[in-house]
Amino acid sequence: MLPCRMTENPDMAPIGERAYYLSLALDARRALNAIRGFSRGSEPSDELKDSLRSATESLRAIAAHESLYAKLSPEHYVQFEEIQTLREVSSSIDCVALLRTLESLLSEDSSAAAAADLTSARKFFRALESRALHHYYDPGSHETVMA
Amino acid sequence: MPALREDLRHDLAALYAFIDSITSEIGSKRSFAAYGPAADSFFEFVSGLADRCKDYISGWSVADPEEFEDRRGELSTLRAAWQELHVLVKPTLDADTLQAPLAVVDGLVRRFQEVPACAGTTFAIFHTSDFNYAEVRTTSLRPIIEKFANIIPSPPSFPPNLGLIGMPYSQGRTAFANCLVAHEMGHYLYTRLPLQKELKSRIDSAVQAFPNSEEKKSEYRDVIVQKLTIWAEELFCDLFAVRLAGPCYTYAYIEAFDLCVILDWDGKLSDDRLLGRLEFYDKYPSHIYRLQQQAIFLRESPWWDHISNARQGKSPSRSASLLAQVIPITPELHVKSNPRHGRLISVLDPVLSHVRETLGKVFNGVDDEFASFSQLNIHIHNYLAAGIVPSTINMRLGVGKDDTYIAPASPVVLLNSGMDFYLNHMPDLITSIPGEDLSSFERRLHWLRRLEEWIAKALEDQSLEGEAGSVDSGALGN
Repeated sequence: MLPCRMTENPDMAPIGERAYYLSLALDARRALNAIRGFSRGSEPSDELKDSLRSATESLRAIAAHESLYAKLSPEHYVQFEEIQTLREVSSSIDCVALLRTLESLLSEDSSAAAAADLTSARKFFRALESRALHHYYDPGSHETVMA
Repeated sequence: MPALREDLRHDLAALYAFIDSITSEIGSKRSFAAYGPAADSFFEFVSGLADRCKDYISGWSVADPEEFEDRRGELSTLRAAWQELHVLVKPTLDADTLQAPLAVVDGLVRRFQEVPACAGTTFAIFHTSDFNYAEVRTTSLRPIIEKFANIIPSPPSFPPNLGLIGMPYSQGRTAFANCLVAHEMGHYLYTRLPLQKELKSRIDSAVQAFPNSEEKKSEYRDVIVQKLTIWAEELFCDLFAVRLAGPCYTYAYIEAFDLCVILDWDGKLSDDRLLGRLEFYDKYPSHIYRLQQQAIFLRESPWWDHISNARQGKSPSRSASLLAQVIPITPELHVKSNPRHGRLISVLDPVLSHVRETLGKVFNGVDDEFASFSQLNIHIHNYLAAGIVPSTINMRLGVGKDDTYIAPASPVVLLNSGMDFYLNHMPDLITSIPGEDLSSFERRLHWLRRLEEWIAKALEDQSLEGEAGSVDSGALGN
């Protein structure tokens, strides 16, 4: 959830673009499918590494209370909706532990990643996919497909 | 796992049926309606993607609860992706060649293709039920489709350079209102420019200078930067449309949003009605602010002399007079009228100068068409006053029999000259026809429709001439 003061102050009310939530859900799904392949013994794919890198960099910035939206860098989630959803999901998890997990999966010897790391990463991306779809299905956001 | 397997099969069958219902609709409507190549390529893409997706989910199996959990989530995401496409298919099917204002939009697309960054772009038209023109963010749709590719094996590619533009279903027969499509074309271009990144950076720096430290916190700053960036995009698209189409865009904008309402009996700004219309919306600056920016932009262009009738020594039309009167509205009044957004508005000024600078680069080398308009406007008016379609304008060079040449009138010239005639000369046209009644709205509507048809026909004739000169079938291929 957004901090209460943000939603109470009309200036601070965020505006959601529906398609970007779907885009985030598809990103998370890509990561989950790559994790599925990896847990069955495949080499970590480029897709998995890209997904892990985006999530890691964005989580790091959020943990450091940096403004992400204005930066627009391919290493991060770039859309406002993606960043806000990531903030929501990260507020209910141990970010430091998750960052450690994602970094271990990104490391050179990721093939030795513990099953617990994969479970933890899977849990995070499922939460991200689910939250993004929740916003996507918000009936009030329907008209934002177009501009 | 039999129960889980059956549950998944049930849900997969539901998704399969949903995808099938979309493609069936496409097949059914395309069997009797005709579409331009842009719309056809969109339908081909959707049908191809549906086939790949159905093949993909047909091969799913569930070995354990973990896999069920995984596939169930994937199914949900695929369904959402199909819902996204579902929104676009029906309104695009509704806008077949008999329903869409193809001549006007085709003319504007041809103009759009003259912009160096936009050559080769095509637009499929769809209908909206709102009285609103809309551009589907194909720039967000395209990455979504590419993300499909990471899930569904061998999906078709989204057609390159394809834009999707929505227009109100009721406006198919109009010409002048559809000049508003130029704004939506601006959205298409905007996301292909580095402008958004530049604007965010400038806005972020300005927000950091705000005295209120609360607003500098990352979450708040993101929200403020997003809001200002969205406003700046709308303003970019307005100014893009003005530069692309000329003042006919602004006149169509005034009429669509009934902005002459702020003029009183004497044609002067009514303070009461003005003050009630200065408040910004969450996603848009106020219409008056947007109109003011368009007026300022036009004042810096060669069109302004004609708008203000400075050279002709005539009084400007009511819409032109409105343009001149909104220019002096002070920034302080905008800020004061926006208790919610006041300090954000103050950031827009420096942002707008960057927007204007960018537009200068985008249109570098693109003729604003004013010289041609100045030369042909009076002749086009003479044609229209005589009820003649101004497809080809015969110009006289001298008194000799053969001292004539045919001057081509571009879409920009035709639309602006037609709009100029509509704003200034409709009463002359109607009263010149024996038996016509200027006070009859029905007769005014009749002659307005005729005028729009003459302009649309002239645009269509041009498009056909273009086809004859090349194998290309026009911007929309209709």
